[in-house]
This record gives sequence, structure tokens and C-alpha cells, in this order.
Amino acid sequence: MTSQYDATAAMEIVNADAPGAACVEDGVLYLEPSEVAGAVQTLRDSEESDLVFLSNLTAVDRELHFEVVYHLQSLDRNHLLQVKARVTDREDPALPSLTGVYHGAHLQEREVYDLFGIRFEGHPDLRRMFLWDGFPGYPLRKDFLQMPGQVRAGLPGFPHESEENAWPVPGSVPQRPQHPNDPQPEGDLVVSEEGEESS
Amino acid sequence: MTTADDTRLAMQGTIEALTTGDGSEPVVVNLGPQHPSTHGVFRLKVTLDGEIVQDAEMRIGYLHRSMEKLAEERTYTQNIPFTDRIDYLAAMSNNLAYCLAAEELLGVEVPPRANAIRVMFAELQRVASHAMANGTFINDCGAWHTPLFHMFRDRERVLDMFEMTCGARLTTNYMRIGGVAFDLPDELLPTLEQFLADMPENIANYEALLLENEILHARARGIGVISPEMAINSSLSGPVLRATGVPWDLRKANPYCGYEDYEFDVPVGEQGDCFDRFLVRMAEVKESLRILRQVVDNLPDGPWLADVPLHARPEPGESYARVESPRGELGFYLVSDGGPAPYRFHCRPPSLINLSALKEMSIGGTLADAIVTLGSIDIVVGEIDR
Amino acid sequence: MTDPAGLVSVLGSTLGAWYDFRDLNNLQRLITEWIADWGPDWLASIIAGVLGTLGILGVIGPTLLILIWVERKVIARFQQRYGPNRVGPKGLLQPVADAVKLILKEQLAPRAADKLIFFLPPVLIFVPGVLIWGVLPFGPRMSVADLNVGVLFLLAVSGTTVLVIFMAGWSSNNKYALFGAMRAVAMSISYEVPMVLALLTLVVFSGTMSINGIVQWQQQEDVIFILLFPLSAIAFFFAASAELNRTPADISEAESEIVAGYHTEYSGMRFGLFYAVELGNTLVVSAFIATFFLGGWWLWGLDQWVPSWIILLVKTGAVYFLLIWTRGTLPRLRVDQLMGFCWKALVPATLLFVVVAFVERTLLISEGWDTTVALPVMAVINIALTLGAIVLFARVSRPAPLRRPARIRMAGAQIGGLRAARQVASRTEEPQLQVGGD
Repeated sequence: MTSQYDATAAMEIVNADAPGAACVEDGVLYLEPSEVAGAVQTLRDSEESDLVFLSNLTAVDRELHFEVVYHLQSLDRNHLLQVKARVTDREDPALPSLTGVYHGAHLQEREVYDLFGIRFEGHPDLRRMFLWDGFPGYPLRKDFLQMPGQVRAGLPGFPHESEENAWPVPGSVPQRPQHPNDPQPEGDLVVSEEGEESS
Repeated sequence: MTTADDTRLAMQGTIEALTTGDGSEPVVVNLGPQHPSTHGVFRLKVTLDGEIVQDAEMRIGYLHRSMEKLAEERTYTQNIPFTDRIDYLAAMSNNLAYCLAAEELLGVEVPPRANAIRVMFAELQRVASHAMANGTFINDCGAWHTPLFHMFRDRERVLDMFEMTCGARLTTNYMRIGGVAFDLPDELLPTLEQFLADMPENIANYEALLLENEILHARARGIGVISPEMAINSSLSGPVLRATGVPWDLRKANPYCGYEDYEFDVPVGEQGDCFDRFLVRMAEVKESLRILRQVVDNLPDGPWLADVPLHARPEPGESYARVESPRGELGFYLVSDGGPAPYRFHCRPPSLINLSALKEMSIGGTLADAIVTLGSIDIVVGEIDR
Repeated sequence: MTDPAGLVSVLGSTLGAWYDFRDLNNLQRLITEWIADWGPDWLASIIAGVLGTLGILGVIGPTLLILIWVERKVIARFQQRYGPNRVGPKGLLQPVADAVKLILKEQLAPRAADKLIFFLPPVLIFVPGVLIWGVLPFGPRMSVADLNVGVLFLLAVSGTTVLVIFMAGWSSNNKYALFGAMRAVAMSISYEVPMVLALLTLVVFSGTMSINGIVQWQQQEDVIFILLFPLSAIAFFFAASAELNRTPADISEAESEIVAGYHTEYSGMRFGLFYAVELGNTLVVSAFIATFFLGGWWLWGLDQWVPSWIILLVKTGAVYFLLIWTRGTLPRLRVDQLMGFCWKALVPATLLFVVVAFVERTLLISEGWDTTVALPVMAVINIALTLGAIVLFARVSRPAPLRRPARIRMAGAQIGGLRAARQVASRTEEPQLQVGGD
């Protein structure tokens, strides 16, 4: 049975290396945002904690701040530790990337960046993953109620009802994104007011 | 500069011109979003030098349905159908993982019969999903659908049992918070018995057809190799991790639904290549059948659903529950603020995270190897994009 | 000609003495002789050619339709399915329905395609596909053109197909198509070599380049060539299936890699033509394998009783079934593996057998050995050589990853990470499953 790794023990391991980098609140280990990568690396490399497997990486919008949640797992010792870090700047949230510690953080950090807008500094390839570059807003934030700028998802109506509904708009490039003949767009596809075109 | 140096430089220049090329450039080929081997709308953008893959980059999101946002607007029970649609080839496992997370949040005790039924359907789902995975894997190796159709025959029978029990074949929506939606129908157990009786012969047939097939060996051995260290560091899980030799299976490591009561083993590979992943899946099917045998023999009586209000409001808190889905470690992270709907609903998708090392596995191989590697990872695009 | 079959002689006497059911060539000869009586010579040759072509097309067309059905049904049986069973009795009209659908479908061309070169291949590919039939002997005197260099003609004509395929792939302006075309060219050039060498053994041994001559040699010596030169037969079969783009060598149309290869961009009947020619080529290759290695229209005297072309069709069907069988069973080799197999295995082996054929032929001719004794001995030696070559290749050529067996172990109580992995790997007991390896 996987046990929960004691947060206090983990705090001691982290603080022995970088004092003040970790604290425990309500039995949960919180890391100083600037120290996340180093602290997690300490936890990974320490013989005792042995948290070699990044099970899960996600974020929660707590309205006043973002909480990035890491679930770290030790396979040989079979214990799980939940680690959190608070990102307080809602305008330009940023956190050090874990990609140097766990290769598996690549895609999960991109997902969090895509849906929450939290930048992971040091991530080698931080681009939106599910949504296209230029998508307005970050959907999983709690203040994302509808798309800003009155951009609505989908078409305003059926194309045969009105010219305005035609998609793609005449004159724009009617590229199918999947055809091997098409010129390869450098970036991802973006939807502008003229319809779909490549950036 | 000596003449010898001149000659050497000239030779070097020629070799460079031949290999990297003056005026020649690598070709970028899009595999997908619609492509026979991407199993859905998944786009792999490969940069090729001749047939050799120089770079592989995946573009995903074609199937993004924003499940995690939608789930924040619905009650805990209403979210169960979403989980079917995350991994539509292993709907039961997804149902189960989500219900476990919700039960942890609500503090619900699941009756023993429900647990046994859950194990039964999770293992049936594993048989069906591995049949699909192995069949399409052989197809990606270039077989003309023959193993696929043979394995689909087994999958059909499993889906028939799903239909018998809950009326749906693919998106089952069968598990509930606190148990399962319906009790087993009378005709299920005889069908399952027959299935368990027929499967050993079928598996023996597949093994006779595939295991010593020299072409399959040539195509899958030593292809898409990943070391155990790299696999753990890349958060790979499921058969992809176990093929590298790491014996990590949540059914053993963190038993849920009473898996600790069943006797089964965890097959692990050695080389971490595509063929080992295929073999691990073949072996896992056999272990699943072993578990099913024990479940059928020791099926407890009693209620199959605990008394949980439809609009349950859990205490503020969070839970992270994981199951060993056919594709790997499937987790659900739920945060409650005391309301009737989850404050945050996050799925840890094994398909997506298993792709972390796809680039490393593909570079240096040929285009055909990249396809085989992708097939051996066994992705479900619904789960990648959610 | 004495007529051992009573029924045929009854029919023959009814329809007139000139008509022999077993040899359709008689009919044509009569017509041309009749024309030659009153018309100029060139008219007779032209009409003879047209009649032969029409005869062949009349046979191929319906046969192809049936073969599509046969192939789909057989593959379906391999795959535990029913196959087509809705259109017509037993689904027999399914190919017709498919053809109607393909004809009615819109034919698209990519905007950036090279239009002229894009339109030509579906038409051009028919030319070698039909020409090849011209030299196929359906009976002792039943071939449109019994060339004395028939083998050369066959190889030359079949070699042009690749040009058309490359035109199709290049002009489509599609990367998948281009990849398919490049692969097809590379493979075609490579596999021509073992194909030529395999036929060279027969030519050397029988001393004739006429295809009918090769059949007649087999008839004279009462032996079929697959017994004398099994390796040439195997090499020819594999090389032919590679040229035909059938699994395990269908890399130029590899569905899971490059969608449909060189004909990715062809839709409607243009695709239909490619498909039809591919099937037709499969049929004609089966027929040539039957002719070269299985004795063609001859079958130990049975050809005296049964029309020779029926014997050839039955043998062709058997080879065709073998082609379907390999297609339904085997996965596909990779491009480099396929090339490696050709140059490292097939070419040396067929070359070896060319030498063997030279030596044996010299022994037969210069030493004047008795063929009734010498041929069986040679057959045994050659079969042994073939088996030896195959075993040697299987031993020598295996790449490093295949030399180790793949093992599956059971973790047992060891659950965990790297430490547990090392413990499991260091166990000495027999692994649960062990496959492959030397």
C-alpha cells in the first residue's frame, strides 16, 4: 500500500539543503516558488525520500493565487508526497520549470501553461499544447467565464443563413491543417477575425 | 597545408555534401491528424533525412473538449459520463478511477460486491483494451489486419458483456460513487464463464501466429528502446514502463477495490523496446484472466451500491486517486470547496504522459520505426486531449 | 491429332473437324487462314493480333472481377469475417458495385499537381499490364506472340511499370506519394536483379529464352523447375511479390506509414485503374510463376485430357492463393530490411544457383549424362543446397537485437522502481516467456 510521505520529514530534507525553501501548512509541504526546482531535485536525489517519479503536475486556481500541485512518488519505497507551490502574481504568473529534474514534466507543464497561463521558466519548449497560439485567455482560470473580446467559439450561425457566418471568410487561406501538400506553418494555427490562417 | 590535408578536406566536403547535402534539405512530413496509424486525430510532425527521423514533434489538441472546465460546472455524479469519454477504449477504468477519487473525498465505504464487480469489469476492460492495442500494433508493423480482427473478436465478446450489464458498449457510465449502477444480470456469469473457457485457446493461437514471427521480430526488436532510468524520469507508466523491467503496477503497489485479495503477477520486460511492450501486454491479458477466474469464483453477495446522495457535497479538501488503467497510471485529482461540484477536476492521463519520451524514442530510427513506436505506446487521443 | 477424350471428339465431330476444344488457337488460326484466302497478308496479321488481344482482355476482365471477390473472401476467412455477402449471390457482384461506385466518384486532382503527368499514369500503367499477357503461353500453340526471347520481353516490359509509378508519385505533389514512388523505384531496381538471376537459371538450364520453350523443356524432361531450382522459385516468388507491392514487401503503399503511397492522390476510377492493374499484375505474375516453375500448361500428360489453359488457370490460382496467404499472414518489412534482404540474401543465392545451373547444364550436355538419372540426383542436390543457403542466411544475417531472446519475467513480490527491477532481472529462474534469439 502506498503510504503518504511525511511532509515534515520532507521539509527537513529540503531545508537542510536550502534553508527556508519549504514549510508545512496543514500537513502539506509548500515550497518557496523560486526554490521549487532545487527543492524537488533534493527530494528526488535524497536516499530517504527517493521521490524519483513525477506522478502528477497540475495547478489549481485559488482565485487570489495559483497553487501548483506536484505529486511525487517513490517507487522503491512506495510512498507518495504531495508538494505545492503558490504563485501569487496573477498578471504574469511564473514558476521555475521542473524539466531539468523530471523529463516527464515537459508535457504536463505545457498543459498547465496552456490552460492556466503559468509560465515555467527554463522550460525548453513552452508553447500552448491543446489550444492554438493566440487563443484569448486561459480556460481553467476561474475568471474565464466567456471568451474575452466577444470572440465566441464556433460559428455564429449556419453558413447558409448569412454571409457573415461563412467560414473560412472569403479571401482567407482555406488551408486544411492536415493536408501534407499544404505549406507547413511555422507556428500553430490561429483563428483571427478573418478566419483561420497560419501565424 | 599538405596535399594529404587537402585531400582529406575535399573528401570531408564530399561526404558532407552527400550526407547533409548542399542544396538538399530535410523533408517535413505530417503524420496526421488524419492518418491510418495515428489512431485518432493526432499529428506527428516528423523531419526526415531520407527515411531517417531527425526530429519528431507532436501537435495535439484536435480532440480537446475542455473536460476539466466542464466538470467544474457539474455535480460529482454528473461527471461520471465525462470520464467515459476521456479514454473511450477503457471507459470502465476511467469510471473507476474517478469514482475512487470522489469516494475518497466523500469518505464513502464501498460494499464488497461492488468492489468485486469493479475488479471484474476493470479486468475485462484491460483484456479488451490490450486486444485493441496489440492488434493495432501489429497493424502498424504492416500486417494486413489479420491479427487485429482475431483480437477484435475477443474484444467484441467483452463489449457484449458490457452491453449486457449496463446497456452500453463503449462509453459505459457503469460505476457510481459508492459502487456500480446495476447488479450483474443473470446471463452475465455464464457468458463470462464461456469467455474464460475460450480465451486460453485464442491466446495460444495468437502466440503461435505472432511470437516467433521473424518479420515482427525484425520490426519491433531494438526499436523505440528506452532505459528504465529514463522511463521513470519521463513519468512513463503501464506496459511502457514495465517493458523496461521496472515492476511498477498500482494494483500491487497501491491496491484498490480489493486487488490485494487476488493472486496475480506483474509481467516485466527486459529491453524496453516495442516488442517487449507487446509481450508485456500479451502476458497481462493472461494475468487478467487469472484475476477474472478468481473474481467469478469468489463473488460476494450483498448490495452493489452504497447509499450516496446524488448531490453529495463533500467537505472542502482534495483527493488524488490512481488506478492501473490498461495504458498506465490513471489518476484523478479532485479539489472540493464544499460545493456540489468539484472545484478542480484534473485527470492524469497516461496516454499523454507516456508520449513524453516519444521524441527520444523515434529520433535516429526510420519513419517506419516511428510509426511502430507510436503504436507500441498505445495512445488514445481522447485521453491525450481531454 | 489423335483424340483420347471421347466427349471432345464427339463435340469435335459435331462442330467440325477443325475445332478442338482444348486449343482455342485453332479457332483463331482458322479465321486468319480464311481471311488470308481473300485478303492481303497484313490484314490477317492485324486481325490475328486484335483477336488475341480481345481474347486475353475478355479473359482477364471477368477473371479480375472474380479475383477481387476471391481475394476479399479468402482474406475475410483468414480474419474470421464473412467478407462481401450482400451484393448479388454470395456477394459475387460486390466488385461490380465497387467499380460502379469508383466510376461515379468525382476525380480530384491536387491544385499543385503536374496536371499532364498526373493524368497519364492510370492510363499508361495499363500498357505493360496488358503487354505482358502477350507472351504467356496458355497452351502449346496458344500465345499471342511466341517470342524466342520471351523471357527478355517479360523482364523488359515489367520493368517499365516503375516509370509510371514514379510519374504518379512525383506529379501528385504529395509527400506520401513521393515517398511511395521513391521506395517503389528503389525496390523495383533492387528486385529486378534476383528476378533476372532466378530466370537466368532456367534459361541456362533449358537452353532457351522462349517461355513456351521452357514449358516444353519441362514437358520433355518430365520435371517441373521448382523441384530442380527451388531457391530460384522462392527468390522469384519473393521478388515478384515485392514488385507487386504486396505484403511483406508493400512498402511503396505501406498503409500505416505513407497512407497509400504513390496513388494517395488518385480518386475515383483513376484509383480504380491502379487497383485493377495491380490485381491484373498479381494474376499475371502468378501465371508466370506457374509457367516457369510449375510446368505451365503441362501436367504429366493430363494436358492431353484437359484443356491446357484450364491447367494453367488452376496452377495460377494456386500461386495466387499463396500470394493472398502471405499477404494475410505476414507483417511488413522495413525499407532497409527489404533492400538488405534483396542484396545480401537473394542476389548471392540466385547467383550461386546460376553457377550451379551452368555446371549442371555442362555436365548434361558435354558429358552426355542420362537425364533420367541425372535430373533426380541434381534435384536432390539443389534442394539440399537451397535448405543450406536458407539456414546459413538465417544464421548469419540476424541483426544484433534479434540474437538475444526477448524475455518476460514475473515480478512476484518485487514491486517498485529501479532496485526492484534489478532484483527481478538478476533472478536465475527460467523466465515466464522466452521467444526469439539464436
